[in-house]
Amino acid sequence: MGRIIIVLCLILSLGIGCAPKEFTPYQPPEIKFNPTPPYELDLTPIQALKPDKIKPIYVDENFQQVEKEDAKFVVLAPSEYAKIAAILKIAKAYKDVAKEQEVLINTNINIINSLKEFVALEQAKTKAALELYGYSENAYRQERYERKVDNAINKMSFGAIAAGIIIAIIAM
Amino acid sequence: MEFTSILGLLDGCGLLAGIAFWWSSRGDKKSDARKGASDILQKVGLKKITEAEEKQKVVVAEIAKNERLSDESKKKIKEIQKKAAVEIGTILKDENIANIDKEIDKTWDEL
Repeated sequence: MGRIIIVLCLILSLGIGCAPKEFTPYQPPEIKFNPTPPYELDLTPIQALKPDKIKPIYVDENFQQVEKEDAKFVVLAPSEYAKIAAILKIAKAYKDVAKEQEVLINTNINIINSLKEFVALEQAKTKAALELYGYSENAYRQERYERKVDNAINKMSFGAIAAGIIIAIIAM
Repeated sequence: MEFTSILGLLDGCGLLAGIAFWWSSRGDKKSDARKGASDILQKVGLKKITEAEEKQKVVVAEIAKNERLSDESKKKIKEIQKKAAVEIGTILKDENIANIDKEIDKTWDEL
């Protein structure tokens, strides 16, 4: 009985030893993209410094202060004149911001184009992986079919042998 | 039935069995050939995938570079505003007409 168990264990270990090695599929590297927060243009630093409306002094041709309706010229106090300079500075700042935003937009367009390329490559990878899956599946199906045919032939042969032996025994 | 006929029948059965085993053993060779072909195809397919991955790495680096540039642009926009705020603050306090005039001339040309 002990010998039978040892032999059975040996046969079992032989079977396990001959089992095919498990196929480990290729692990692609993990690529992660962090979400980009929405962009918000905060213009408060320059908006906060927007001066009050200019208060000019209205004068006639003799440079005498008159009502707005009778005025020929406007005169500005230095503090009011400075407001024009400030407004120009604000306009210049907006222009610079707009120019830098062009750079920002183009950078984001480049990112979008890169992402499009990434998606195209990902699709190419998927196609290649599906081709591999197709090869494997077809090979497996062919293998299975041939095993079925082999098994059928073996069964028929053993049947024929058994039938032949039975006939031979009966005939004897 | 004669003994020779029985022997012939058994020989026939043996021959049949031999052919069957020869036939089924061909399957192993076919399997090996198929395995070889599959290995080559796997290698070719994996090469395609790894090549695409290499290109993807370049694209990812490009995206990271552009994200840095984007952040720099955002910082620049803040700096432009800060610089302008300082200049506006200074000019609004200035009472010297010549200075104001100079600033207007300078900014006017830049617009």
